[in-house]
Amino acid sequence: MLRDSKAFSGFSVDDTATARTFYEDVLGLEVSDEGMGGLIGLHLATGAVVLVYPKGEAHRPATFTVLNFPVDDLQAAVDGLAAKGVTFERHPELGAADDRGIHRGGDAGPDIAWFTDPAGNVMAVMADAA
Amino acid sequence: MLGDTTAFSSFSVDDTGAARTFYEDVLGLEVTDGPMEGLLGVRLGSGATVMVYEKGEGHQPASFTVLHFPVADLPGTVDALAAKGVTFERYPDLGEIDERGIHSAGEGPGIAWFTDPAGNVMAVLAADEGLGF
Repeated sequence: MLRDSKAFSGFSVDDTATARTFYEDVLGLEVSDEGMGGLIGLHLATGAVVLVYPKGEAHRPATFTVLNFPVDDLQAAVDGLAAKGVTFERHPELGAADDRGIHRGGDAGPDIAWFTDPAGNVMAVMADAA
Repeated sequence: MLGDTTAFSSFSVDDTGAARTFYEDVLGLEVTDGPMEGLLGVRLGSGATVMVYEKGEGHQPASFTVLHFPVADLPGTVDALAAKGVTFERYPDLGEIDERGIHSAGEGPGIAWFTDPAGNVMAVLAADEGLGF
């Protein structure tokens, strides 16, 4: 029924101006202004666009990861983000993290490191298996 | 820095089995097995794939909308989903609401919200009223 719909993911932030600065200047993403009271679009290299919308004080980040970035060199990506002020989360229940905050996936999945955007939304960089 | 990565969106569910049935049988989406157990890939008509991962009782749906489906015939789509048992949410603070549950407010597109079996909020919206990515 919805198979052909040009569907897109989305999440909210408290303030799209602050979020936009982070997505552009820290993550290096292409961001578009979509109007309608502060909507922005994140243009991913896959061609996908993710809608980010402002909810002000009503915004609550999800407990799950909303965006994942596979990278060829995870350590370098983590170091590069850390140099721009990004701090990485530790989730002991998801395995031990190294000094950088990289959680080793082992047989259970790729090596991965989690961080949050200024609105508290959880994002991840992970080793690209391909 | 991350602008050239093959980034993808994700959200969690309590149970990927129940979620898969809903995405395939009710929403009519293409769902693929992920690289490991407890992971699904949901293929969208835009070409994007969204990863859905199982968190069991640790899952909590977000307060925001995780997936948006622009459709050419919004009332017809809402009726068809309702016929499959989907119930639509009503948010009085988000504009006028018609008898189907379609909200309209200002310059935004007509939109109707529903949830998946895990409580994740999704929406169908009028494709010809903006937000055409």
